[in-house]
Amino acid sequence: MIKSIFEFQKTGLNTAIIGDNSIPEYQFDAKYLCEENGAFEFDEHRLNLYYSALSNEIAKEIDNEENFKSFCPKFVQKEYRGFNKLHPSQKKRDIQGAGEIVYRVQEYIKDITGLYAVTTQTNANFSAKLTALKMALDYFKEQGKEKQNIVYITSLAAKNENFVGLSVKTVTIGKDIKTSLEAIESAIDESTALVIISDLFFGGVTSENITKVSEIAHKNNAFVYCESDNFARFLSVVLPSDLGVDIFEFNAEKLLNIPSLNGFAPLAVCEKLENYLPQPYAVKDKSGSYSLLINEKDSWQISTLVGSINACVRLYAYLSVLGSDGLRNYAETNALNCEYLKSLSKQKINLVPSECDDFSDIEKFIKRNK
Amino acid sequence: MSKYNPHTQTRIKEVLKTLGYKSVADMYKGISENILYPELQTSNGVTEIVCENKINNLSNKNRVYDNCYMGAGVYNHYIPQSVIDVYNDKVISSLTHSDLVKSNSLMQAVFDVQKSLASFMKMPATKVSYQDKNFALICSCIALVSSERNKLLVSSLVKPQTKGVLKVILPLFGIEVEEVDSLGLPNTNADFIEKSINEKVFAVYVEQPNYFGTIEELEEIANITKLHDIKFIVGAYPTAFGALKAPGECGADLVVGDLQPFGLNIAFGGDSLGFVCADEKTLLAINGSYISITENNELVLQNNDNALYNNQIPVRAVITCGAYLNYLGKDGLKQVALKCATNAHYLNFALAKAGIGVKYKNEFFNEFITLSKCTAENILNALSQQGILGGYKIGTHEILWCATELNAREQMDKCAAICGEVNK
Repeated sequence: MIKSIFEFQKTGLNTAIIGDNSIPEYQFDAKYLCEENGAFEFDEHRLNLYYSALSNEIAKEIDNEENFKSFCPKFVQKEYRGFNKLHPSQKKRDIQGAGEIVYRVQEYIKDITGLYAVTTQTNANFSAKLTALKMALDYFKEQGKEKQNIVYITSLAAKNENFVGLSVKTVTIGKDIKTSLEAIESAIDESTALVIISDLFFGGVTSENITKVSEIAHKNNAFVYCESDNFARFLSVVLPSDLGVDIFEFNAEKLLNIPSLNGFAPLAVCEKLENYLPQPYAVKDKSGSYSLLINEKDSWQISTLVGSINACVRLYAYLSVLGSDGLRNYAETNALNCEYLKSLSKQKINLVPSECDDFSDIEKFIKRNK
Repeated sequence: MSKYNPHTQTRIKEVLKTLGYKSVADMYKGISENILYPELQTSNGVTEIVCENKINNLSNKNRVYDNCYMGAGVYNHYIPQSVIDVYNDKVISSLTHSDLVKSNSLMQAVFDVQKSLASFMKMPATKVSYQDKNFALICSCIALVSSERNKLLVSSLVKPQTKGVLKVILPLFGIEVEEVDSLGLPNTNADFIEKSINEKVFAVYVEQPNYFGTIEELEEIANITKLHDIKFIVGAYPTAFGALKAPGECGADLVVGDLQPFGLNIAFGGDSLGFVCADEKTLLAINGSYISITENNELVLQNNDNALYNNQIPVRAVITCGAYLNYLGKDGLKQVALKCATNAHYLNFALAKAGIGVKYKNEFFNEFITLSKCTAENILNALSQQGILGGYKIGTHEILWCATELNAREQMDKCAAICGEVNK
């Protein structure tokens, strides 16, 4: 394990990093200035050694763990100056490339989920769920309906008593799916705003369970929100909208192993919620130019502009090279690996092989874990 | 078209047979046939060359300015090559929150960043597990609010985007947001704050520097909040504290901020990392993952019990921002701060010489507002034609200018000259 970085500290260093001294330094009133800032001092050479060692140690420690590797093509991870150096306050004429790429990512996600509209502002977990709940509550407010709870369906033990002022009823999926479905049915009622499902195909690969849950939710005027857990093997094989999902958290990392700085997870929503999306989002006008739509009267934001533009670029790159047939192959390979692992293992394993794992990787994994 | 498949057709057939399936499609037999394999509008995949060309074209459609004076919450700072190398490191660039439990070295590295940032802000402890400053602030408010005290006072000089998010999101948590008007002054007035305080207020939120770039008198406001036993939350632009007094020194109870200026690109506003600094007890009450240290000196990853409020640590961003803090160090961060301020004051001087005066005479850090005879639009268009990204238009004749260590003297002279010509 690597030492703490503070063991590399060195005092008395004077690092000259600012070149242009042609302008005399501005003299602040002393009352604004600190005597000394609280940062530490390091030697650049030792820092280089530290970060190199850190990278190696982390690689060793993660490799030692019994886990499957995720794969994302290298070129997908490339960054482009035209996006990296773009300021969010620039005019429409300056941001056509950004507008177009966000628009195309929105279209891709709409196509893969079968849903109506997309926001790229959200990140995974809290950000996405908060946004979804706000949209749902705005919708219900306009309908004159008051909602008081959320139903959270999960296979893991969870301690969620409330979320955003609504009470949370957690239903833990057990081995007996029939009992679980009964518990779900009794949890959802007219005062339910949102039914959150962490794993669409709980109880195995069957559309019956999720369709039942969606029907109950819609009968009680609740929206169905689905996370991306274990959905990679169903990408393009089935549309979440066909299963009754109203809001889908398209977690780019979980679905396609796309690295992002902050957990990029656009939300795709049904038609009912289109007008309640945070703004802006990208639109294409009749002249073919792209802009970021802000309807001043109703607009609200959860994050800066369109969220992570670099993550949008990566998602666009990967979906472009996969295409619809590549996506299908991706999902099927993922599914085949998962099925093979399940067949070889006598115990339930939380780790999921990805589409890059060979059958022999899975066999070795089982052997190591016996 | 790019297809990655690790299996040979022979092996696929063997495994399918083992699993009792006739074909790959049999794996999905539990899904209704009428919704299986829908027809997508998405076309077939393209090659890497075609894709890269497409993205390059899109990238070139964006106009990037090397001479930039726009800030307003997103700042164009120099990123040392050493920090870029850390960001692009093949191991670090692929790390996620879930890797923390697998690697003690990674936990140590994140813990060290928490400690460095806390020290820099002169605060006891830090969490670095938020999407951006707004989320850090939202989570802090959720932790601080009580049934008796549910009102947050926000200075009107806080960035409009932050005010917008707070006014929409905090009421969902039963928190009332009241804006304290500065009544045309460029600083938050402590007396105005005190007049707005009542028994329902739990905290005051002020930014340093504020939206106009002016340096706030944080100590005066801190005295008021302590007198009334309410929390003082400061929204920090971290670059400033290389030279200015850190919020912890000025009496802040909590500090929230965005570490984008510390080694992350402006990236259309999308690269960000929110943080919260506070005492350990308050910090633990705020939703957000955290590396803590036990009495036995063991590092422990603490996650939220409530999975719906989950804020995970964006490891790549944390390590990168930590690298920036470390590579620049005490002296480097001071130099950057003073250079930003020096350049901004020089730009102010150059614009004034060209006939465009500053609107407020108060002390500012690296942003200031000018008032011109001609419209802001005319000035900004003229600059754009010369390849310069001017400041942020905040009024018909008002522009919010920002300078950083990247702006050179000749560039600022050129900018001022063009502005002077347009303003004649």
